[in-house]
Amino acid sequence: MIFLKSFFSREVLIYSKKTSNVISPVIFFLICISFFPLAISNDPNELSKLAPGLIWICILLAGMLSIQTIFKEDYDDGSLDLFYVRGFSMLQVVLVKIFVNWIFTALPLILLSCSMVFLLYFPIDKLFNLIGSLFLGTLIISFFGALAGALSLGKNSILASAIMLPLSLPVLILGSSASTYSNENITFFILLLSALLFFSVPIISLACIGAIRLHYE
Amino acid sequence: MLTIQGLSYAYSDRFLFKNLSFDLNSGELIQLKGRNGSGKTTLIKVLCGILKNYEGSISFVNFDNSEEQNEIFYLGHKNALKDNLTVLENLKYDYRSDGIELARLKENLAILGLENYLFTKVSDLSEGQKRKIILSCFIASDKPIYLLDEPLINLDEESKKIVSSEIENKINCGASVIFTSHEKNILATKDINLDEYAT
Repeated sequence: MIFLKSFFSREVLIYSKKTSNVISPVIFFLICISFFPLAISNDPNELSKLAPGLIWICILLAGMLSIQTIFKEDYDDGSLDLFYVRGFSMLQVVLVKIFVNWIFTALPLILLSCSMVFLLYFPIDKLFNLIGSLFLGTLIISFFGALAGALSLGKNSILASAIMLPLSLPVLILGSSASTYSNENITFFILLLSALLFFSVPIISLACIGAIRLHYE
Repeated sequence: MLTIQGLSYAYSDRFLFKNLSFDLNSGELIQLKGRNGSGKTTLIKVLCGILKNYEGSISFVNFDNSEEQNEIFYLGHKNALKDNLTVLENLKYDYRSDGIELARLKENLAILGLENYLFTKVSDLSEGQKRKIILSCFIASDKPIYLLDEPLINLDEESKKIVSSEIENKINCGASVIFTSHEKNILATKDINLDEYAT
């Protein structure tokens, strides 16, 4: 428990000092999302239909900027070596790193997408559907991204994208559907996303531990 | 303290070292030698539990399994410092400084000439200064086993003397040290040349 607290505050401190990690996805998201009305159409009806998909695609791509390198710095500077030497729980390391990364990169994007609903004429009555699906979906994407990052440690970031994007497709489909359908049908998609998150947390965390270990053999 | 028997480590279809056996006793200083790529760093990583897929046995005498990892001080080739944090923040969150009072770490930083860099970002320091941050933990730590990978790398002559004398102090206090270096250390009680164990 002491390690968990100390590791959590260490990660929070690192992210709060490394502002580029937080700002880059936000800037990318803002640029991407503001280009769509210019490039596609400025018709409110058309934009409101496309809005959930556009927001989801932008969040997925913006999230990819930071999540893939989640273990890279610790691997490159030798911090991961120290975790092994001291015998710290790698499950705790992986979970804390993913959660802190989500707080600093996905959470600002979720909050930002609330303000984007006006730009894209997104129906206000479906705003809570969008936010709910984004909360669950971005967490799942963070786990998939962490796995991609763990598998591609010390290798080209293209490999991480190639691993992460296909894994994220079901989340993208379920998430944008949850934000599109009427309030009665939302429960189905939210339950599916919740189930996906429920199974992702233990399975992907263990897969991350195994993938990191592979680089030490 | 440490008994190694028939230790072998293969990498890319060849053994870096094969059938290596030695004992590390209390108050002993073992220097690992060998050409570049002979497996010195790998051996240190195997001994401290980072690399697991080795053959042979490593047994810690006088410690039970739960204690082993707390009884080793590991100084790797990489410093494990975060560039965007200050020297003080790095020391606060470095697990090698666990249980050491901050005042003592500051004292050691002063000995190594870093007293004015406590609030400086690590990214603004030279490689030698980065090494000194971790060496301040080494000087303050009180462990029975020290595994040091090139501890004197990037250091100026004065700092090398300080660290070497600290290694001597630790041996005199009964600690055991294994270190890698290309430079001859007159204090070493035993040399292991890994070139002799390569296949």
